Amino acid sequence: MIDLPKKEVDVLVIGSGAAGAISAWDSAVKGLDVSMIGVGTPATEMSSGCIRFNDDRSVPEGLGLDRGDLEDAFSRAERFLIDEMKTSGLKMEGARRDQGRYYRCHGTIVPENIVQGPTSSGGLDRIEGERICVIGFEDRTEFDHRLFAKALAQRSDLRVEHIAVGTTNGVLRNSSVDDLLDMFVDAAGSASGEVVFVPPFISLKDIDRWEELEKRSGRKFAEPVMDLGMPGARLRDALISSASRAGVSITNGASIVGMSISKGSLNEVTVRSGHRLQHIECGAAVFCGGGLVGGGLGVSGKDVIDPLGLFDVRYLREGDGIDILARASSGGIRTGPGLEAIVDGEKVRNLFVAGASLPGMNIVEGNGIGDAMATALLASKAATEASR
Amino acid sequence: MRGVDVMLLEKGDFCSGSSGGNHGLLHSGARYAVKDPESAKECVSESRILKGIAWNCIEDTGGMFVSVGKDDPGFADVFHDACKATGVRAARSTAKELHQVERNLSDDVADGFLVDDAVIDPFRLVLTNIEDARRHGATVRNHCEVVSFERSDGHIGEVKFKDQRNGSVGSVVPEVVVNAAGSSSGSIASMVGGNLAMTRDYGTLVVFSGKLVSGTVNRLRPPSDGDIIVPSHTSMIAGTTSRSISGPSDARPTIEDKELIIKEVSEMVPALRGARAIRAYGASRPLASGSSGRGASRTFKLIDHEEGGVDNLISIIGGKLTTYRMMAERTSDAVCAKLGVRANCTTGEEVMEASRLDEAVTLVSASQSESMRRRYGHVPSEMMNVVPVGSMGVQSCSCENVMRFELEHYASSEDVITIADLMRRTRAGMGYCQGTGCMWEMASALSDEGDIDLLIRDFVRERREGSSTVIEGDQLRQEMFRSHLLWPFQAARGGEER
Repeated sequence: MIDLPKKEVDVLVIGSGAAGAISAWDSAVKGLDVSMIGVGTPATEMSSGCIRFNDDRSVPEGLGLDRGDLEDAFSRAERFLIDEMKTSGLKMEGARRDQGRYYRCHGTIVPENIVQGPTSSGGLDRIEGERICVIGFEDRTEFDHRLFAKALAQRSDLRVEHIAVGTTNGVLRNSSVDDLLDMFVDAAGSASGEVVFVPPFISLKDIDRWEELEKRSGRKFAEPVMDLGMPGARLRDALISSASRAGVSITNGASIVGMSISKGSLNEVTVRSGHRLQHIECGAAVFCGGGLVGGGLGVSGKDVIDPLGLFDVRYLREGDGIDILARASSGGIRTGPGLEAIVDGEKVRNLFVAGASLPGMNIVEGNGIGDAMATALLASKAATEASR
Repeated sequence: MRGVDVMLLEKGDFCSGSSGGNHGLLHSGARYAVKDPESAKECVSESRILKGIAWNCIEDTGGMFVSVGKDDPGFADVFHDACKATGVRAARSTAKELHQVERNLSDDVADGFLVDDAVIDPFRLVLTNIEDARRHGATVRNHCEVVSFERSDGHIGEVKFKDQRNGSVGSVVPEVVVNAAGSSSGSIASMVGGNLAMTRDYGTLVVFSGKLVSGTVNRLRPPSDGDIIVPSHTSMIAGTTSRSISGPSDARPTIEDKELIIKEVSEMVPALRGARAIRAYGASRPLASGSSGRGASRTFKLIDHEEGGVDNLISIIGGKLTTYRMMAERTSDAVCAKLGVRANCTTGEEVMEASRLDEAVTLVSASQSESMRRRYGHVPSEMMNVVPVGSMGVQSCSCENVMRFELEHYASSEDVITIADLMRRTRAGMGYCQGTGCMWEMASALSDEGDIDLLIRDFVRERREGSSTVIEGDQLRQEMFRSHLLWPFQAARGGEER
């Protein structure tokens, strides 16, 4: 093991998903020296990249948070999504729905829109037109255009056709994005559909290409949400890019191996990256390691645990059948009314928890990225104050 | 094979009941030598035959019986004598010799015996039989449930069955009806007014990811809960428990069953405690004898319902996977006697068609053909017709190394209508991720066959039945991850089952 020189920061953010990135960004734009460390694939990256801000505040309020502070955090998170993501090259589109506000990357279609069909989507993700064409790569199974077309037809009254392009892996390997763009424009030209679904092949900051695709073919393009799909990865890229621009120092592939806490105060965090060990002295820290899916929390038997064995964790011990899943995911790290972590029954004044690590906030439970981002802004505000 | 015109009807998929709900052990007979010598002798002769006629379904791993510290040392002699008396080969071995065969044995293992146990893939075995039966002219239909028997003057006339594919009702007028419905044999018999004395006994098995044993490891003591572990493909299966149940619907593994199995089996193989339990499953054993549990004989019973007032119904109940061929021979003897057919049974001599060496010119990679040989016994040439030209194909299931063309091949069969049907044939979805990624691939391969939502929902339900009661630790986290991935799909159905 190699010991790296000790580092000093104002705020250390642990976890680099949506909650970690917005929290680090927030502290950094206030002029603080911020480091963010992360490991693995955050749940944000695995998600559909769609963000919901629930009207129902019962979960964050259940954590003891002040209602006024929460409202403020929610509106700041929404503003961040619209303004800051645009600067990072991601065009977020939002609309009001029954239970909250929904945002997604331009061009992304979520399953609800397919089910509700062309007319009832309330402005967001609207499929305008009645004929749909799905274009896919012949021998790439990560986006199965036939399956998708079939599902689409089954779930709606839409008329759906599908077209395959690029018959061998070799074509894809040797093609540039512009070659692919030409292929899709050609294929769309032979389609009768007004809306064309394509696999995500245009990368971040390529809104121009997307618009070119639509302009040249005269059709509206959309890309569907998939498992481990691009929209989630794009959202995460944009978030990281914003944090980086704000001056956050980012280390990926690093995990915490120890925290030194004495007299209710966090002094030092030990971080390991491969064979390198680093001690980071910090004024305050925000833990956004995620829940069960993000990997910030683990499972031992049926109990939700914190792999560091540090925090006090709230869990429901008993469960049966499918309930176990819901119960396990409702566990999380116990916090005080200002999101201060509780360790051995005592609040730690400068260590805060946000996002899916909090009880009831796990993404599987359904509270999602919006609430995670709002709690992250509250935690970063508290951390910024505590570090001074 | 004896010239009789045969139709086989199965209400679900082939091997979806008790035949598939076991640990896939091809008994050497040693397990039964002491308490059930009749079953032991049957196992000796039948396992030898099966290693010949169905070699592609069998991994001849060998096995052992071991005694652990506290076990009764007197049992070894009783066991040895019983094996000699029943013709079961059992070679007495020291702890050191046993450790040379199985490196993960406990240091508490005192001594034991090496036996001729082997591992049999029940799904492959049943499918091989079906293929062979078809080749001999039998009509075989799965997903067809018998809905009524027309009976007059103690004779079954027309039999009606419903095809689950399209709900259509077909009919047949058989000369003789064989009831081989496993746990449902009782209800089939009562549909014709017959009666079957049968007890149902439920056994739980736990599947673990990876292999800590190379052959079977059995506990050297009278048959008891948690006395065996069997290697199987990429996993190992530990079992079993035994409790009587009232009907197939009570047949569910419990957390207590699982804990008991881990506690008992880890006394022989301690590292099992650290292994990842993927799922638990089980099936009810339809036992022919009046008693149930460990005391009940595992031998079979052939019943001619003529005495009970139905002159053309024969039921075959009890028995075990290892003796299935013998049970079938006795049954077809009885059928032929009724029909006046004189031809002899040749199932003990003729190698089944799918077991004949049929090695395709290998278009797939070396590791892929190795995987296919493990799963199918060989690289089937007919599967190669759909491999894209100039391509090794695309991998669909990384846990079990199943390629897309394998899924396409089976999906094109009329027998296959659900994702679980496809899984039983290819093993896609049986690994530790339980189909997280490959269920989409399977749905996609099947998508011309039916409703995708329904396919996925049925499969998730089927997999969860096995895991939900016992899931914990890493596997629970895996299941959380899967729920997360399923969410966008399920949200489209109105948010249920999130």
